[in-house]
Amino acid sequence: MKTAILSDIHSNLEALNACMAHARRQGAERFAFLGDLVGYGADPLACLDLIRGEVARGGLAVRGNHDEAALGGLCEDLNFIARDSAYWTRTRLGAAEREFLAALPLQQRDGDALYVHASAANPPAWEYITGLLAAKRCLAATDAAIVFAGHVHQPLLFYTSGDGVKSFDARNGVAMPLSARRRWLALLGSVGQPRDGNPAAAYALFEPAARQLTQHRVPYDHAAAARKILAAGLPAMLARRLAYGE
Amino acid sequence: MATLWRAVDADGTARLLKRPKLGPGSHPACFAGFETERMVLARLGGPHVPALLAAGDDGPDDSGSWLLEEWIGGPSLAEAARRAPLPEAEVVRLGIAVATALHAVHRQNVVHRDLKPQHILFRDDGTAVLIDFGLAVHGELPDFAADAADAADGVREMPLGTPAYVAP
Repeated sequence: MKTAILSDIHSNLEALNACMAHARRQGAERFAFLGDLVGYGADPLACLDLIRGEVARGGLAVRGNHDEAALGGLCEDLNFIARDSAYWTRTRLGAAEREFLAALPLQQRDGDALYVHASAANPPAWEYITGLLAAKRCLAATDAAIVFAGHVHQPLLFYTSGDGVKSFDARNGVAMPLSARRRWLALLGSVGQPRDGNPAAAYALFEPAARQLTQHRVPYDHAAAARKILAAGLPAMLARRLAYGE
Repeated sequence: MATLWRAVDADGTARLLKRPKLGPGSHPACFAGFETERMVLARLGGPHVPALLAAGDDGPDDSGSWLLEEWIGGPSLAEAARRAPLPEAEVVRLGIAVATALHAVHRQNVVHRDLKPQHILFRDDGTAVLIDFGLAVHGELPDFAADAADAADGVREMPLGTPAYVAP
């Protein structure tokens, strides 16, 4: 089943809508959400409403560290901007949203693929996969052939090669065959707060039958999302960075 | 290294069935070559490459991987060269055919990296066909062949290609 994988949505409704519409046009049959559904952005309720609907229709979702912070945990680990936005998000969530977030697993297995927010190596530690060693630790922690993760807001593919791990920066829009002779770790870019210098929202389409992964970038109305952040009284820096993808 | 089979479809059409040739201590480049050829051929089109018809990892025994490709009857450039000295006009014709094939592959973002007379076949109409993309690299895909040729410390043990034909 063609699956659209969306990570780090961060309450950015404009980016989420743009990615979901794009994915549907590409033939996506279901959605998987890799955590950090909320935090930073101004639309936690509307985003969670969309995500809950897709999960009810057979999609899947895992919890991220910002979701945890919105539920009341982890705030001492966040920088002051993230902390402010977590406190703000808490005031917006109702019982249904809190219940949904609290029930999300930290990782979810689906066939030979594993979905996790940060790293399969101790998911609640929220490790950032920033190099080959962390990627190797992640792959060593599971027997899944393919691991999908987010958290770092920068797309990158890792694959096993002999006893080691190599990385590859796949081009957007190009279908990457994920050879069955290797194991793969796909780090996804962020839907709601890209940080790789490209302000377009990032997501990926996975076709299990063909074992192909295609990363996409979707331009969206980031100015509208930024205006909402400012109107909500959230830190202005969260609005500014949307225009630069940084 | 690969074992090549001439397979025949139910309708009598000849196909090339390719499987890894494995032995004790087979180099990992053997499988990397299969992965590479499968990835690259799936993205190449036109008369200058064999069509990839099917591929899988579910073959019998440990060799697993297999590729089913269009059968190109030949002859190869190596066979043509055995008739040397060739008439000047034929040398020019062969040269143009090979250059045209190379250009077509390069335009599709692929570098062959193991071009030699044995890897150039000709269709009946004289069109050159490049075969064996096990060492090739596609500009938008991982370079498994180079990965396999690199030692654990990232140092290349040997240049990619056939020594007599590797660029100096």
